[in-house]
Amino acid sequence: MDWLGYSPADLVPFSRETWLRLVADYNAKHLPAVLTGLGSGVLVLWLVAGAAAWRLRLAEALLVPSWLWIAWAFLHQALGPLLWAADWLALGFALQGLLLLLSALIPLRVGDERWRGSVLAAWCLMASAVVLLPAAQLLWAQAPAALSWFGSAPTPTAVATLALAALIPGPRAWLLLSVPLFWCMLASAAQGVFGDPLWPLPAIAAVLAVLLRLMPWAKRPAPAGRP
Amino acid sequence: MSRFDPDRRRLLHAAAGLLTAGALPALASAGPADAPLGGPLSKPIPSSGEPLPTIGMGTWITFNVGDDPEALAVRREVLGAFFAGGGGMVDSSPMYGSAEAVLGKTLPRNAAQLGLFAATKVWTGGDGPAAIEASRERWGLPRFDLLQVHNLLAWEAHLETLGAMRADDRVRYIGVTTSHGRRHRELERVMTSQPIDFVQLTYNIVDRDAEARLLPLARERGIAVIANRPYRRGALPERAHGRPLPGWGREIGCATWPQALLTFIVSHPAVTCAIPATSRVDHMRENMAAARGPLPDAALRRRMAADFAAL
Repeated sequence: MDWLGYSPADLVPFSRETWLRLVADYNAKHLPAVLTGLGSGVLVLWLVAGAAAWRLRLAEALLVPSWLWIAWAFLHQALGPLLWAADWLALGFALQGLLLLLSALIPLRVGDERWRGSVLAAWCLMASAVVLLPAAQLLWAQAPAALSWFGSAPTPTAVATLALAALIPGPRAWLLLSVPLFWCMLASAAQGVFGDPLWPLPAIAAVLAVLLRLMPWAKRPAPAGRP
Repeated sequence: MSRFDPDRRRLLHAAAGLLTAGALPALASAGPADAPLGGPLSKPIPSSGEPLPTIGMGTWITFNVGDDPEALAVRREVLGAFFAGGGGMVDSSPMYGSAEAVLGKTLPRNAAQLGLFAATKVWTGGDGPAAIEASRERWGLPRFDLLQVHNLLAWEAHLETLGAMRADDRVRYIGVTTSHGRRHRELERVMTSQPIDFVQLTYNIVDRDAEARLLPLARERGIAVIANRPYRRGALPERAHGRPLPGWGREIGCATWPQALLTFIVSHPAVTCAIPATSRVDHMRENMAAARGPLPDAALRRRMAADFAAL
């Protein structure tokens, strides 16, 4: 199969209308999960506002059930009948859940190298996933029943995880970034095929997260006199 | 003599060619009053002479709606309009998500009597017979009219399977598909070397690469042609939206640009049918009203293409 010859439009076998109806049906069917996910989003925002390692680890642990739930209920059960690749995506989300769990269990050393600016930027990115993404969808006339929410829908959960992973010191952060980065690119491509005006947002979030991780300004400058 | 004896195939092809060639000039001079009642023009399948309505329907995206009850109800109406309009070929694939299962839930029970020509595809690098049986169960049919190797995936193995099924009368016709102008060289090799009844490829008023070699080859080899992406996934009607049809529309019995686009496609002598996909009943009715008048001749086809390009 010459996959390289296919454009995104060839690989999305359903319409935007079908996608929104799927999300609305999923939200209605799993309202407790949607509300729980949203609640965990508020908690994660509070945790990430602080600088302590335990806060980051607890935030990682709180994300684990969301990734596993989305893998099963959204990707496998809801999207599975419509998309042949859905089970592969579900496997990826389950893997991300396991990686977050492992990372939460392994001790973390958060030194002074994180600059306040980077923490603030990551927190804002996370807040955009929990609050601004659904608000933007509403503003662009999407039905409230079909909004995608942190903790139960893939894209806001992936964006929030990008923000958290950008704050994790050390190489493990790149492992934690991989699946959400891939999903955000995929989501932007699919939304572009749908003609969704908000299509760039997941990709922008992905780029911001990588920049947060890489930019030298993200590190606190060394005090005068120290090498 | 088996049904697909090469000599019998060539004889039938010649007869079909005479029938079509003889009919087209008459149709070209015929007015709307001579249009076939109850449906669009039919063309013979070259390998058998069986008439097939020139306007069929596809199910890519439009029928991939899962278990949504409202969406299923709309698809039932779309199929109702399709058969009421004289439709025949319904084309799908296991690659289209839940489309086959949705067809199974929405096709009328008497679809065969209404003229259903069920066409699906084999899309697996693995067990072809198992995949075909799974498709048959999803559609809820005793057998398919046409089985095609989707996008030429593993065509050597699958065509062997399909050929055996055809010989056993477990399928009536076999073929291969491509789309978007991909893999035309390989398609040509298959058309030249394999005893297939159908080929499906992209052909419309702007995507006309197939005219150079594949369409003439299909005529030469007695292979029916199904034109996919007749509207380029809605882009072509969108381009013509709000623009009136030039005067030649009346000459060919078309009232709208979408109807003219379909009529253009099926007016090519080598094309047997087009398979536009829609999820809207009004669009289905509009599609089924195409190809009911005289088909444009070569000169009018050039004008149509030029007028569309100028939009």
